[in-house]
Amino acid sequence: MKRLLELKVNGESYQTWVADHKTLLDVIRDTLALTGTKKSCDQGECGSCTVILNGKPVLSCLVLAREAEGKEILTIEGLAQAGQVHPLQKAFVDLGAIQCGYCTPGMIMTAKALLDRDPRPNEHEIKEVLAGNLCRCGCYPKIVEAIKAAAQSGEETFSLGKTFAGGPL
Amino acid sequence: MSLPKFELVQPKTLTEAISFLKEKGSETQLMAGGTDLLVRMKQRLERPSYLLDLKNIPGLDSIAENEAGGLTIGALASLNSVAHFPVIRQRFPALADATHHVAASQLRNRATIGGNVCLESRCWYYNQAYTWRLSRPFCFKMGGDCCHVVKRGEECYSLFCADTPPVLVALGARVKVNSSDGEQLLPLKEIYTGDGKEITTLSRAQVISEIEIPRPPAKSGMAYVRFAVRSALDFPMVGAAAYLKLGEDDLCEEAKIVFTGVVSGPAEAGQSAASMVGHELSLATIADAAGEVVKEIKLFANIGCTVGYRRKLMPTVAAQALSLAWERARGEPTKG
Repeated sequence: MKRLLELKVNGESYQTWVADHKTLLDVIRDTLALTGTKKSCDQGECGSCTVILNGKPVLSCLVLAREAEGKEILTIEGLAQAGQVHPLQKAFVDLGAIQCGYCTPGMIMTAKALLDRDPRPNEHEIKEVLAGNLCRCGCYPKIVEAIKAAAQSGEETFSLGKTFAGGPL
Repeated sequence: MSLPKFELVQPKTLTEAISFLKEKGSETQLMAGGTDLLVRMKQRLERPSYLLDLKNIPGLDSIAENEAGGLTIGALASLNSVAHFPVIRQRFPALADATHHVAASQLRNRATIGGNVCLESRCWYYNQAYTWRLSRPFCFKMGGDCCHVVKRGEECYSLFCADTPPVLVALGARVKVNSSDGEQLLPLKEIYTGDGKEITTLSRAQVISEIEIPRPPAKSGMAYVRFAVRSALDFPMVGAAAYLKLGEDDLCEEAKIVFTGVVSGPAEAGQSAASMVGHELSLATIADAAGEVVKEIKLFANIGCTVGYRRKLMPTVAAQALSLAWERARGEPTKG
């Protein structure tokens, strides 16, 4: 039986009819059409469905949509602000930390939650926090490098022109 | 994978939850973090008509030192909140270690210590999707009448894999169990059956609300060491919790070794631990005691390693846990 559910995603409010057994991942992707968050293993073992719920990274495949009511949800689509990509997104692109791209949103969301809590993590701390995000393509070294670069860049935002024209590749 | 249909019940008080369970407990599963339950439901190992979400009941997730200097941890406290709690990191480091190494950081933000204490046992043949399991007759744990691990076995040989119970049992923890008959405080050790089919003695109408850990006395030390193929995401192949207390004369006064990942419940190596009591401790005596553990615990092969390999792992992991506990009992700066 479907019941009305209100979800706050990336600062916007959505109202939808959802059955109790739908996961947050299903609703984000299929109902809200925010397909940046990926469904890979769907059983909490790969991290590609990572979203930030009330400031903490969680596996949305294991959260019922109804459990997320009244909470702030941040997905990969919510990172760019006013046409500017987030330093993490820029660093991933600039340093070639993306191959097929499937693990990338999950990696970035986990990294964002880490940097929000600890703006200067060392390599060991980054790897420990990212342990729940798997990458079949093997981008791990570049991913760690990109997170370090984003951390070092601090609050600096970059113009999109600089990102895609002549940035280091 | 989809979840089977159910109705979600979200009580606002423990009383509401318990009265719902009294009526509908047999068709209800309790949900705390849901990180194991939802996976089992996606695999159609559980198909409850109702899911009772405990997370909207205030106060069940608090962590505090009690007046006796011990700890009271709400069953709904997330594993990460336990792992990062300053008093736990300083004075109950084995619990911080046990919670910190579960799965991955995202999962630990939702998974709870109560859920970990009641974690279902695991088996190669059980933790599989429905279509996979259809290729074989259903085993005891699935409601059938055979075991695929021990052919012609007459009971369930699934493995108990949770990280926190060995630590909590070694520390003499108690759990507060609530039901319509009131509340009772039980030694955690007593709720485990050792039977793979039904891990705990708890009924569907009972809820664990709190875990109480007594204050560790002076000159005591505790440790938890786990071995797994990957350093994250995997359940422990062998996990050992060790607790040591030294007397005034620095001889061992009390010792406990409890394993996870080896049989169908937390496994205490009582005799090996007792062999250290009254003696001076050294790496050699620790290694000797650890070497005896396999004699007390009857092993069977399941999930990821053979009996032979587990026989080698158990003394090694136990010795590491015991030496770390000994270091901490002596007040040495903690390593690792």
